[in-house]
Amino acid sequence: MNKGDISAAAREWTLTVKNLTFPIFCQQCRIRLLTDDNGYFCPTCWESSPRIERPFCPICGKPHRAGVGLGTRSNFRCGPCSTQKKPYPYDRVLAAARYDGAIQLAIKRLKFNDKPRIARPLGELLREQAERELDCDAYDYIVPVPLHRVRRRARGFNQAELLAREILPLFSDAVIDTSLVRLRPTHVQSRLHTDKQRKESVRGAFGLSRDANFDKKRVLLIDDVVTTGATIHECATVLKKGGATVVDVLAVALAIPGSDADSADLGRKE
Amino acid sequence: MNRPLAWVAAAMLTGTLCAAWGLLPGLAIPLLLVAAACLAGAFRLRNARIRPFVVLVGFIGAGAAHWELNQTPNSDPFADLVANNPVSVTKVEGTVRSVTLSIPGEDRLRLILDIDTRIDNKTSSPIAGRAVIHWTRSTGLIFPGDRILVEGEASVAIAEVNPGVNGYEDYLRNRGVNTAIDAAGPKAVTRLGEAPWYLPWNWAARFRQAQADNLARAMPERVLPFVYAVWLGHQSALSQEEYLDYVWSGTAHILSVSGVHAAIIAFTLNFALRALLMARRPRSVMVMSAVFAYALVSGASVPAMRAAIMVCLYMSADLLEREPDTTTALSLAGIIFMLWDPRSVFDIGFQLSFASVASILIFISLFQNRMEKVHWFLRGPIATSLAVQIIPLPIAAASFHALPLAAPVANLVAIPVLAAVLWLCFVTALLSFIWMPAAQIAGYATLLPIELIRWIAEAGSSLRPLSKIMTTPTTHAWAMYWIAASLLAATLVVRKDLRKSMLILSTTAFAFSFIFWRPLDYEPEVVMLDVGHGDATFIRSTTGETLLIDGGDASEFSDRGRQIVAPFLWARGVTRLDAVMASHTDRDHLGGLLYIIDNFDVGAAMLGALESDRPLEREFVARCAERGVPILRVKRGDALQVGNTGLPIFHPLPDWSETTLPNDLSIVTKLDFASTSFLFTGDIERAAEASLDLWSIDTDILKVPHHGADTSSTIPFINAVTPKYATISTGSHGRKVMDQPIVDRYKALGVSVLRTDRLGAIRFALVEGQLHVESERAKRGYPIAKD
Repeated sequence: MNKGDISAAAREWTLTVKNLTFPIFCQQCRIRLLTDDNGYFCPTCWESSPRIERPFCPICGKPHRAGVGLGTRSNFRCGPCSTQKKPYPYDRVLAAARYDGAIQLAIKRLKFNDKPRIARPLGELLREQAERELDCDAYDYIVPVPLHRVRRRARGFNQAELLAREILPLFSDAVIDTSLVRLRPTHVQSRLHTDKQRKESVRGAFGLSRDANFDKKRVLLIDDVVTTGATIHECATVLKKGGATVVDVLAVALAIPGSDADSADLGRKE
Repeated sequence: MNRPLAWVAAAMLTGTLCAAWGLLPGLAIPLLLVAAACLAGAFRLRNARIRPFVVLVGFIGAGAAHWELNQTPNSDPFADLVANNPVSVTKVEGTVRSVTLSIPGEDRLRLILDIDTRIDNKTSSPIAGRAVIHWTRSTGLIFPGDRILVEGEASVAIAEVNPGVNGYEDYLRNRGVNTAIDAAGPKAVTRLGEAPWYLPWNWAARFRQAQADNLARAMPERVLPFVYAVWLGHQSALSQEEYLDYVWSGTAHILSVSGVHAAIIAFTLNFALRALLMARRPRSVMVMSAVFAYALVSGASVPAMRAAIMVCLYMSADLLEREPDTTTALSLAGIIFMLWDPRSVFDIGFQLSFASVASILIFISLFQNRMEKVHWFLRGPIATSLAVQIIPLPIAAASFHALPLAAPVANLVAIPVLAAVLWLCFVTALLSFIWMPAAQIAGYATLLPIELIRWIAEAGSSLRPLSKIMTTPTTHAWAMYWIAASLLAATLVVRKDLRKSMLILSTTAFAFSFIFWRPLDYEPEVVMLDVGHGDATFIRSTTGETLLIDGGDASEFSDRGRQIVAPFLWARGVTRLDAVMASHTDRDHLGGLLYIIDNFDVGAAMLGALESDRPLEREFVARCAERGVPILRVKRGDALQVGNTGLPIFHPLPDWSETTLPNDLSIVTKLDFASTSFLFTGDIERAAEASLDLWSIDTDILKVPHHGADTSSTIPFINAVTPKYATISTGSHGRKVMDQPIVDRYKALGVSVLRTDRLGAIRFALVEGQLHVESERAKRGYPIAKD
């Protein structure tokens, strides 16, 4: 028996003991998980959660409805984005998945149930999408959307920062920069229900710390979920004011109001 | 459902219970089951449907075998020696195992000693044993691990033993203690040597004692008993009245360090460290060590250690990068405790803590799903405090006999406040070692939350008319209740269309459980309770009337009525007494009756004819009036009728001017019990004995007057009674008036003497029309001192 066999056997036994003493279950369908691969969701739930694949709008990231499932088509702008010349302060939004199913649950668990380890499978999702869709050498800074320091204390971590760390190896020239800060506490966005409330809530909430240097830099802004875009809108405005030439947004999930209703309902009926 | 360890724990529990109840006797059958399961495993049983059952059978066998292997009686040569030579002053040496906190102002210590040497006439001989030492008028401090020399009176009767009452002696015997030594005075215990420096128990006890001394200086006096209880795990400083408030408001559990306390420490510390941005793994390690430190400092009691182990099993998930799973942590803790000592399955604390956690796990969603309108912040706590009640209810009924309806609400408020108290205690204790004035600020700050908890307890207990007294359920009721609970749990997992019928079934089962809660038919019996020094006799006559003669002693430290008589009656399914008789108004007879009057439905109270002005009598009369219990004054010549039971009264004379001694004014009465008869004599002395009509008092069983003191039991009296049995109600510890010559006198006259200090409670019952005498101590297999 060589060394590799022994360590493999040891790993297998450790896994068995772990499975016995700390069994884990899919957060969505409650089936028992026997490996640490994902740690929170079974492959069925995880894979069946809808992803965003081509074609989608290269500006706002929304997938085109007609083309869902036809992954090889090229992207084109959606209606609103093609009529306006410069619609948003950020240059583009890229999201890996729709805010639905297992991924929606994962993000909620990550943020609200003190489970920072879910950042790993979510980061993996993000990394795959970035590898496919982004020019990874084109950024100088990776900036996670900040939490207010009080909330950061209460939560113990910043989920966007955890995600940023997960994808960092992909970006050879970039470093994580945390000089974008949240100046005042804001409401939890998911408890505000209208677009207007959310915009009001984050207006002027962000700023740059004194040692920030975004002059002529290309920035990738990381967020867990983009819903109405109010948060990233504010962040990008601040970053652009700070001199950034490019602000792209990379998010795990994109909430698509209305258009997602049918697929979301189908998912729940199962 | 798919948690293997939960099934393993359930199987082991089943095996243990089967072995304990004699369903899987011997070692052969259980081992055969294990072997069969192993063989099936070895032959690679691939059928996934059968495999779980094979594993279950294997663990049922393992549980039973483990129980059987632990049944070897632990030999205690010292106990054997004491049993064979009763009432002897002994000198022994040994190592202290545990010791209670020494509270300023209290001069009692309780030690548990591992005896290794006996000193007899200056010669020492090795002997093994474990004893509890009650050291009164103690001076100086003793810590675990110290070597001490003890001189005192040893006895195998550790405390009172009564049917249906789980008491102090059972608790100690479960921990291997087989003898009690009463040591009095500063010279009774001498410290021979200090503990070796490396003993963690010794550090913990020293640290605990240092804290107790410091806290006494830093905190206001009125909160100290509470702080000793929740922070240092020392309950006995609390007054009885206060303790009862907690019992009747359903918050008594916060007074003994348990899972709730460990969970509060773990939860709040985890939250605080997270706010300090501490990484997850070091945070888990910190929380685990804090919980263990707390368990050690609070006296390392079994429930505290159990809670600490459970919290650690839960928290260690973070170290393995896994999510904690409460069900598995609970099961694993259960398996560990069953392996460690299978007897713990029968420990009330063990049962209550596991049943409570299991109840929360299973039923929380039942309540949470129905409370969508409640604010999310309150939903969890409310659902928890309701869910926690379900499974432990019969266990709590059997051990506390109270179902406080205020409990869910009281706990909802008291537990968060308790968190504040615990942390303030921590801060005070910490500061008291650094700078006393600062500690005093923190110490006085505890006043507010503790007063709040006390107020909640008082308010809760003032709702006492709302709470229900629960008698101990019968086995049928017990089984029915848990079937109902399982059905209720099943409604949470079954298909929607089955849910309604399940719910109906469950409700029916609950209803049946409560219908059969009390036994349907009762055996006639006469039970002389073991109440230490004092008297208490329960009678259920052949025609079914219930009668209590005397209620034992009650002092500010202990109330036999509350601790022994009431639990005994509730365990027998009795909530109504047709009559209560106080033979006379001495405290050791009347004291315990006050609690009985307050908590039972009493038909009538009987007192001797002569009214006196003694405070206890006045209080008794006042309580009876308050509860609407009519008082009957009885005198010689009365033919009293309680239902169909006749009680002729032979004494006292209404106009007897010969004496005014309360003892001599005791009621003397006779009970016909099938073909035998009992004579109850209270505490009558020579004068009263001489005045009795000697022709009428011939009986088979005599309750020896005045606890066997030589003030009574004159030879003409005994000759007139000519009893077959003479019962003496006296204690083996504390006050004693019994005189050995009197015992010898009865024996010389051919009477069998039955003493409660030796036999525990003595029960006379009818078996096929014949009188049957039963000693509770013998029934439980406890050693009985020889004459």
